[in-house]
Amino acid sequence: MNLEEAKQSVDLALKNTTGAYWEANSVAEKSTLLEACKQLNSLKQQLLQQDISTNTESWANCAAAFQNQVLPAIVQLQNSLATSEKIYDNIKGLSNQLEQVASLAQFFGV
Amino acid sequence: MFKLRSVCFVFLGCIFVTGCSHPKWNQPVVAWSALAPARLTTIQAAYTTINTVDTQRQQQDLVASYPQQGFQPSTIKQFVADTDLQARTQAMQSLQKYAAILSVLGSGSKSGVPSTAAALGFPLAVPATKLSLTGPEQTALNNMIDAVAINIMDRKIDKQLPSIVEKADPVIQEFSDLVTKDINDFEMQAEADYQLELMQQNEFIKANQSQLSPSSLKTEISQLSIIEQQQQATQQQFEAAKAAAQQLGQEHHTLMLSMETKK
Repeated sequence: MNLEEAKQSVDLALKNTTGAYWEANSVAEKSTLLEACKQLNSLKQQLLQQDISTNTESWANCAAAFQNQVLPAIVQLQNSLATSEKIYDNIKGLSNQLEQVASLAQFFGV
Repeated sequence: MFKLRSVCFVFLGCIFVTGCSHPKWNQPVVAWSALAPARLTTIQAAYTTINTVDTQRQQQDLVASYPQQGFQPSTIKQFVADTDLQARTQAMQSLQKYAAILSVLGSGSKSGVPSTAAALGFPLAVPATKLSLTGPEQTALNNMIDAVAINIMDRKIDKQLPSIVEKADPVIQEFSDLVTKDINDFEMQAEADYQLELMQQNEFIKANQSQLSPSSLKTEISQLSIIEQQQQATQQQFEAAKAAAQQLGQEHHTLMLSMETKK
């Protein structure tokens, strides 16, 4: 039986025992069924936590894929656009200088 | 003024050569990245909820077992351990960062307003103090510089962004599947936790009903329906988190396909 089957099996047993508790009439029977539910819940919790821990490796791989592949690529594009910004600033600086030359030329009547 | 006109013609030529800037997929990119933070918040809340619900049930166990075992708070354990939470938090934070950058890159140009540069925090106009120009000539020159710069940046985004989205897609699909698996486990655990709480509350009422005042008895019985309502609310929260994870994955895949077709 694999982990998934074990989870489903314990879950079903817990549901049946819970149902039996609500149907039981005697105090003693209810008390016994409640204890059985606690034991089954404890077992179920262990199986679910084991499943979560097993999935943690996949989560770590997913986080690593983001951090090693996706984010560097998109950050690189962002940085590349920052370089374009510098070029843009240079063009502005150049246009400023050209305007100053034009003003001087106009002043001297060239 | 002749030189200024020449500069203007050079800029106009640049725009003519490179073509008009119009990011083809900025709307779906912005739409996906605008919804992503809220969806991630819904998913993150599910992890907080399962730990709260399970701890609450363990606290009730402590109270119920007090007459036999005394008070032992050290027995309370978090359902999702910190080591398991860490990997999940890292993946969620990375996805959040990806969505944030994507949102900025996808904002593109809109109605001739150079919004890409604005979103990236770039200065958009030549300050009046730098140029001695006044009036329509200055505006025209500034608009042309903006147009060329925005055009260059948008073209770079157009060229590179689809391959980045394509690279991210399988990772986001995996993220979506992992969230669904976790939440399926949370649902199973929460259901058992609430059922045990109901049974223990029922046991308390049965054991003490002869000693409780009518008003206290009513309060304790009402507690049963409060637990049931909490169970329903938690169930709805988990369903919402699973839906959010699936939507994140599906919509990102649709986004990637739309970018491929518009290449």
